[in-house]
Amino acid sequence: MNMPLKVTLLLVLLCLFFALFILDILIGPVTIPIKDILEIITTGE
Amino acid sequence: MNPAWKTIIVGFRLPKAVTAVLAGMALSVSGLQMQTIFRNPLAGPYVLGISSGASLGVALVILGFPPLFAQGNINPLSIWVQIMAAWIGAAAVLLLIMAISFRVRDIMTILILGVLFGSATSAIVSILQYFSHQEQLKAFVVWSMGNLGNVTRGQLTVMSFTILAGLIMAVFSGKMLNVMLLGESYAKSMGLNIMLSRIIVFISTSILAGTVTAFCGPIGFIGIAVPHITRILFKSADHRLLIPAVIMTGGILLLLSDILSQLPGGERTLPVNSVTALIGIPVVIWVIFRNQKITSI
Repeated sequence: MNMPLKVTLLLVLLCLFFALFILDILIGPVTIPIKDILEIITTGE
Repeated sequence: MNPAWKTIIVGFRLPKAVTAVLAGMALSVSGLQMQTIFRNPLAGPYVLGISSGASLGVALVILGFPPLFAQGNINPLSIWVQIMAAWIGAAAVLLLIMAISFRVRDIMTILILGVLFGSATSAIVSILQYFSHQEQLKAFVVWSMGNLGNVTRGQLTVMSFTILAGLIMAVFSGKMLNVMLLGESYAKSMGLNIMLSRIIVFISTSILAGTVTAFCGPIGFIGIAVPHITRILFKSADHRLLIPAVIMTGGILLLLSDILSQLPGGERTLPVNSVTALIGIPVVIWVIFRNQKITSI
């Protein structure tokens, strides 16, 4: 595999990375960390 | 933006996504380093027992010191103790494996020993669990399931800096790993300080695997699968290219696993460990069959 192809592949991976990052933020249920729940219970805030 | 959505995205989903990226990157690079240093395609932080060592460290502090973890780990001191325990546990197992690798040359024996160490640490953890209190036992079981959503923003800052340090060390070890790939005799003839190189790689791997295990719990198969996927994609064994590519692919794969674990459209989430295993195991099976084919030729 030549260098321009490797660079192109890296750029494709970079695009995929950002696409998945945004998708991960946008979809799925809200998961509240247990520590935060405990903090809310403890501090009442 | 709606304040509720802002809280959901900025407060919960963004830290979770960043955690997934960092954990994926760290575990993948850690796996690549282990595969190169042991010259074993099935090596990785999980298989060689490094994650088990980190788990033992965490189990010892959570189950062994109940007062410190009595309020569900919200004490800042307990978080630091947990991180240090995971690091020490990971480093101890790695050093043990390396000490044995100086005496035993056969890589399959080292791999088997790694699996045995993993089993031994699991046995110790089981004993600790048996004698622990209900509250501590629950805290440890929840931790061991592997969860990217448990990391708070404050913890994420610490995690980012430590993983960044480990990744920087890994990037600088690329040239050394290239030489070590060709065998110790060749590396020595090239003037490489084998012991120093190993120490650098040990520290880097312990920081990376230990930190991820401390914050997210043991996450399996990413460390083994990602280096192989990257080698297939780039058709290269040059670590100067492989390390950045593995960093990228590791982040992508754990993000994908996290998306799948959230069951898009559903209201429940799966443990991320089960999704990474379902993605990683076919890759490991493929590597075993590929090696079998090479040996038979």
